[in-house]
Amino acid sequence: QEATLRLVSAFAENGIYVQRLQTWIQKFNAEGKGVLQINFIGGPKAIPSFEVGNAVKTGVVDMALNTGAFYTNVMPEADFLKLTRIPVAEQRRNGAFDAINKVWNDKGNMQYLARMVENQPFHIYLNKKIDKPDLAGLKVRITPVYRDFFQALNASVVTTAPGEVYTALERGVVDGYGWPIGGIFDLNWHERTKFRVDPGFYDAEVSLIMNLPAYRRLSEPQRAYLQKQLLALEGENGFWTRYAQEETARQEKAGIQAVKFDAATSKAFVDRAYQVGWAGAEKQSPEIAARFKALFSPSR
Amino acid sequence: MARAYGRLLAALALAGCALLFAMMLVIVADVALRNIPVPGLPRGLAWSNEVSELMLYLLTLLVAPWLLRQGQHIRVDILLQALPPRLAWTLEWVGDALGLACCLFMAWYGARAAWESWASGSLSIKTLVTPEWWSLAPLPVVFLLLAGEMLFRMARLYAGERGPRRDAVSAA
Amino acid sequence: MNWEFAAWLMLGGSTVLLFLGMPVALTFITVNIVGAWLYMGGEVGLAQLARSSVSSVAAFSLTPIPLFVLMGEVLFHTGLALKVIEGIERLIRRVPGRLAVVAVVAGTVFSAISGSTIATTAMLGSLMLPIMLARGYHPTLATGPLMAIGAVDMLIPPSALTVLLGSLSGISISKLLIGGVVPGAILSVAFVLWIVLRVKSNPRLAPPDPDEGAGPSGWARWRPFFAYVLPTLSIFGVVVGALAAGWATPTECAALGAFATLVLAACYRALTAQALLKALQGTAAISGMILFIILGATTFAQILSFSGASNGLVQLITGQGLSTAAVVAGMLGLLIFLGIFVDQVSMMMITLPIFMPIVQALAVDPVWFGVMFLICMQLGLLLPPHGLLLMTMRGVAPPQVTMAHIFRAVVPYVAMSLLLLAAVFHWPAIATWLPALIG
Ligand code: NA
Ligand code: NA
Repeated sequence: QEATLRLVSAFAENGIYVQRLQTWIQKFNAEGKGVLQINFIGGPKAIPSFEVGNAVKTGVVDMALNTGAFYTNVMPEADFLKLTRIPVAEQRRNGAFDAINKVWNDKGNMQYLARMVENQPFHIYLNKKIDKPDLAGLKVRITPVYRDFFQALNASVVTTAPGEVYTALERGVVDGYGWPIGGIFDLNWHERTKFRVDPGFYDAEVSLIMNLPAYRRLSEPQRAYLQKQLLALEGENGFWTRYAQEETARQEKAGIQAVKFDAATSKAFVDRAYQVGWAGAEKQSPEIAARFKALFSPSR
Repeated sequence: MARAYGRLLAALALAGCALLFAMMLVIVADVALRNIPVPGLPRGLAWSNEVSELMLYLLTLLVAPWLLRQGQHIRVDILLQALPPRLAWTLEWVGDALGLACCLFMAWYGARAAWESWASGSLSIKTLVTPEWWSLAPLPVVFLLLAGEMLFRMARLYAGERGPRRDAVSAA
Repeated sequence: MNWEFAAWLMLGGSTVLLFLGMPVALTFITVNIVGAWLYMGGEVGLAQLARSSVSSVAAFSLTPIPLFVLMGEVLFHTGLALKVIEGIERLIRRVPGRLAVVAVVAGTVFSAISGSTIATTAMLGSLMLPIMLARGYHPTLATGPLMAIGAVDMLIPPSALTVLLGSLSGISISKLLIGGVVPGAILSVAFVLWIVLRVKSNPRLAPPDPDEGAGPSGWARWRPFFAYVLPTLSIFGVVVGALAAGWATPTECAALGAFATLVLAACYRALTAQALLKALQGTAAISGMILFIILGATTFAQILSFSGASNGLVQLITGQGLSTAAVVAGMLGLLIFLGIFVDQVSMMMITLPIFMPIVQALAVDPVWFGVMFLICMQLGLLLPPHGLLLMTMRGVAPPQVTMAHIFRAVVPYVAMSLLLLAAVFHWPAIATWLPALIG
């Protein structure tokens, strides 16, 4: 018989993540008649972003589109997913995916279903030029994802609501911000941005998660159908590489200049980002951080 | 007893006033430090937003039972004023009973949410890392206090004249 | 379960409880409990409701609400407001209906510092009404301007209700605050012109002062203006200046404004411990009440959305094939109707969860819509029988002023506000020009 899963998004409905999710849901429901359906309930208007993780854990909803930084209150390990340096297909092969699911099952009462965004590195966007990776004297708007890293680069960190970033940039309340390679055009931040620091670091993680009891309640055919569609969703992830290229070109057109370092400095910059990231992870959860670190990094 | 309870609620409200004042100072200090370098002090208080948020939430809760005592939680009394006083008085009882039930429900499920958060060791990870139940626990306590005041409110209704109360209808 | 049932249950249920006379905040929380139980999975839904209630008020974007209210309360409890009125009174002379004009000008000055409408009206009413009546002003001419200017206070920043509207609707708070400036100023000017014209055509409404034209001249006339009015207005300058100079975000500016008001009061040696405590208590009462409603109403909107009722209603309305103008006019009409019975905070809480998705779906300029929403709320303050400012006036007026006087007094100002609403509807630039320039 047919079952219906209720899905909420921690991201706003007009963004690209939910747009792509909606396309997938349409296909899912069209092909899954009589087996499994998804009822998209809505975005943060229905459940506040930072409560979505708890809602999945307790079964208020069955599924969610979410990012780890939004549910560190369920388990600090959620935010570790930004530190993956291999594609999700590889994560499924090398055991990383299963290791994630073990933690997500045990600590979060949830199943980690699929990663739907990849290859979206974070960048530092600035209005003042820097010639070395040092943010001393700069006021930078942060989110918890890269707060430690920016502080390690000596920035003064500022927290503001997303809606105030534009004014803050315009008036010089902040000298810059961190954001993934895509999306700065959504809130017109490009109008108030002069430089982007290359290279990027970390990988913006957006995934589907599911309440564990709800997952276990699915019949064999239902679970097989879900799995098939999840793999199809991940199979589309090549889109994000193209999207990153498009957004980079669009930023260049908008007059945002790339700040580049020499090869050694760039490598040191990126290594520092991961070193700070893993150091933070180890502080929260040493044993799991060690296990994940080995599985999330490319084998040499 | 009703008086002692009233003094407790007034004391909590006073603590709310102090928090309001402190919240203003925290935000001003953050802005000042960000713009004026003071040797030995950090450039801005990175935790100012999350601490002010918490203060605003506590301010709301600390003041709420005191406002109920004062009849300052605004309401719409246009119907009550239009009805015969005796009938309006009866409707006040219906409202109070629902209000009491509502406060008890919130106290119970708020306590469960705080308890579950404590039991699973959930953390609120921002600039400051704090146990999540710290922010969840005040809610059920205050709704329990509101339920208590609701009982005193009903006692006052019983002792008073048979007509609608004169609670605040608006404040803008 | 279909969305129609959810819509009836939640919107209908909260309306019934509201008219039953339950405190507004508790009506929302009661309906939330039922809604969370039905639509969010029983007990887990109720625990989620408690968690979401916490996050609804632990929001930095709401911090300006108490801070704006504090600015007004400090002015009034330190007696600074009285000095400002005196300073303005000395400057305005030989104008028909002089005291009524003074009230409008002083009210506009307060509007630029006070974030609390009721404080402004109560203050002006208790200070100026007795003087006007003693000088033989007709009660309608004496009370009308006092109530009307209280409503303008809501449009001119700072305004706690504007912050609330912005944070509930997702419209840029700074743009909304700035968007209220031009309509608010238009109303002030219109009120002054109306008073002058009325008194010119019927001088018996406002007998001229016996000492009109006399009084101090030269420096003595201007001294209170420079000593009190200008410094008080400089608070507004501090707030705008901090924003323009890039020292603080719009939200943080509210704290700077409140701090500046305290510093100013301290400079005049008016900031006694008792005055500060009174101001803080007054602030805690007004803003605590508003915030407690937010605690219930934010979650109300979430459950309404979760149940599918929001989407269902929005699709129902946008699917009727009505023009955008017709839908917007319908929403404004509903707001004015609600304003007759329901207070401003509840108006926002009930309508915004449905209105804002419609505004988005129809691609209506949110700042334009937000400013018109403010004007409708401002009207609600003045509309009989339940208008808050009418009640406030009744509370501070001496017995010879009847309720009939008050109702009649407010008519021309309601008419001017309606005209302004129509004007903004026709020429959106009145609302959007300044925010586009600055914000
Ligand atoms: Na801040
Ligand atoms: Na104002």
